[in-house]
Amino acid sequence: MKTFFAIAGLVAASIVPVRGATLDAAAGLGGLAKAGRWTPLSVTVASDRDAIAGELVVVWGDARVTRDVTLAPATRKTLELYLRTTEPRGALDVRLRSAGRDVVVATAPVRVLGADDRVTVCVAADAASSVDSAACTATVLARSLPRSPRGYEVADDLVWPGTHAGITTEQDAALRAWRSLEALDASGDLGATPQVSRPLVPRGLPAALAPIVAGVFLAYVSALLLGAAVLRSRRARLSWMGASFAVITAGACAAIAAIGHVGATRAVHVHHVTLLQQLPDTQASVLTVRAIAEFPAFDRFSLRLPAADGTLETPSARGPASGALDADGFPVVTGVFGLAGRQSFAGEALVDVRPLAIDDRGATVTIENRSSLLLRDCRLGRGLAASISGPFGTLAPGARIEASWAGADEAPGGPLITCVSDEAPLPFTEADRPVVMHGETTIAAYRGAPARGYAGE
Amino acid sequence: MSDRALATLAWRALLGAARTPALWIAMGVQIAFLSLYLLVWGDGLPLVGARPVLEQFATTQWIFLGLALPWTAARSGAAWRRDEIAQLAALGAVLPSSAVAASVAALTVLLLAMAAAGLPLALLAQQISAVPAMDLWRTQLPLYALSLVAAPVTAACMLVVANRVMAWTAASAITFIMMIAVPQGLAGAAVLAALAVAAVALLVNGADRRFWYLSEQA
Repeated sequence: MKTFFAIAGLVAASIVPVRGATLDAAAGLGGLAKAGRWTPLSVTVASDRDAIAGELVVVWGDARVTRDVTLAPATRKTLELYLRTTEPRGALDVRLRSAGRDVVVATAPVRVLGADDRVTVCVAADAASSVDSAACTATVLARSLPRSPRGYEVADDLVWPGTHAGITTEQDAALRAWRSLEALDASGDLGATPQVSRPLVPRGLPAALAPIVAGVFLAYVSALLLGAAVLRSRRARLSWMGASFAVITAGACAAIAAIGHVGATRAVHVHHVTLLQQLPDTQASVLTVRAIAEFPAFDRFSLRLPAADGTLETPSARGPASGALDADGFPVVTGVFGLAGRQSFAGEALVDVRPLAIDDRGATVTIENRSSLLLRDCRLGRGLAASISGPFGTLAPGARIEASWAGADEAPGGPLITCVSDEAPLPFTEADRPVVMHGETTIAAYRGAPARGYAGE
Repeated sequence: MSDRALATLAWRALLGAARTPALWIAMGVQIAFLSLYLLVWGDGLPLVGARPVLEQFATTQWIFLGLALPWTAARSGAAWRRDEIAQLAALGAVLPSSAVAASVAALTVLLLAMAAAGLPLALLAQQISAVPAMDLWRTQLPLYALSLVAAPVTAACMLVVANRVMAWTAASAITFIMMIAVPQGLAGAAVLAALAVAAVALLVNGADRRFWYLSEQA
């Protein structure tokens, strides 16, 4: 009888909805969106009575983003998500799911503009403030401004009269980063920066696992042949050999099952090609990564990029990409993968890692490696020449070089300097396993806006 | 003849077979070949609409064993020729059917061991495929059923065709026909097991009529 009631209780629990759960969603910068551009989505989840442990699922065209959500009873949480799609619809579909079913559903309408439509977003300090509405495509309250530079991608211009008050440090940093990116884009420096390509990983079992697998099977076949040799030399009984065969085969199965669960085999290997672009006049850098993760065992994994403002996109069968965020808002590649399973993904993040310090004094530029990374293959931008004698290409931690503009007739373009590091500036993490990064990171630093335009003048 | 005597006969046949190099060569080649397969194509054969790694691996295992099981049985020494049965019956005072039954029993154990030797490799393929453990048995049970049927088929071929190569060729051909004819998965395993029982029954029942005397070539 107890079992019956236990089963009945479980069944009842699975069909009773979370009581008092509400979902409010608002999408777009001032309600505006464009195809292929990041679009912000603000979602407020609240629960009056029950605790919530679920997943927020947002679908917009061919894009899908999920975020784990945990909420204590009688609390609310506002989350900011970003989506981009090449097939934008008039509304984003937002669902809060728990135990495989929808708890509450909402839609967030957006006005989809054409790619060539010019968008001027005006910022009002508060609801009572007035702005010149004729020049504005949309008006946004300061407190509602995005917390990521991605949130501004739809805008061509942002008008904010008066003092920039009423926004958080996070919002301010996002706005500065966006303005810096816009300036780099307008100057052509961004377009002249080499982009990341997909890392090349040979087919077959991963290099980290192949020797272990080969070793296990070599030991297996050796043990069997040794047993056979003993049997043939009439030093062993058939029953002994039969038992040995069973033990050897079971041992080989145990060794295979242990791969990825013990010792160094537990590590997740990530092959990456990364670009770190230091944004001038800010404290931030844009990290762009393309990677392939190799998983060591048949298990559930959650590979995290430790950057709160970031995204990781994995190719999906439904469309070009889908993204996932964990409960803390960090982008993750999550799922059940097989032993030696591979998952390719691409990511972007705004990070506070700045290995190179640029001191631009007009005619001369001082570049210092302030990181603990050994930077190699350093190349100065077009029009710049190092003022040191001898070969230049490596910047040790703490090392600095001076460079000066070589000529006035050549317009500079692209980064001031690019260097390559063999260490990842922001290594991925996994809750239960170590992560080993393979690949290289190109670090690009640019001139600040006031200095831009000096050369050639 | 008592069951104990039959067991002794089968045990001796098995011991003789286990001491020949054929079984161990076949097992070693199987493990080396399938290991190499997994090392090179462990992430799946790059085919359009490719099936999971475990299914691809099981198909490779299936084809390999279709060739290797009859060869191992024919070379093991436990698949007796007609004249060997007749001599054993006369000298050992046993029924030919008992000798045939002992031979088939020894071959069955031998070939099951041969098929079971691939289990760790199949386990690796299952781990790579990220499929439930049940799928491992769904792909391995037909292989064990194949070894059940390959034993009486090869024993019959050795009794009919005294030449080992010819007997292996004929047994491989018959085994392949059965492999193609039966459905895939557990249903196929059941059909193969039923065919194995039928083949053993036919072989043993007819042995006392056919194998009392030496052939004219002897």
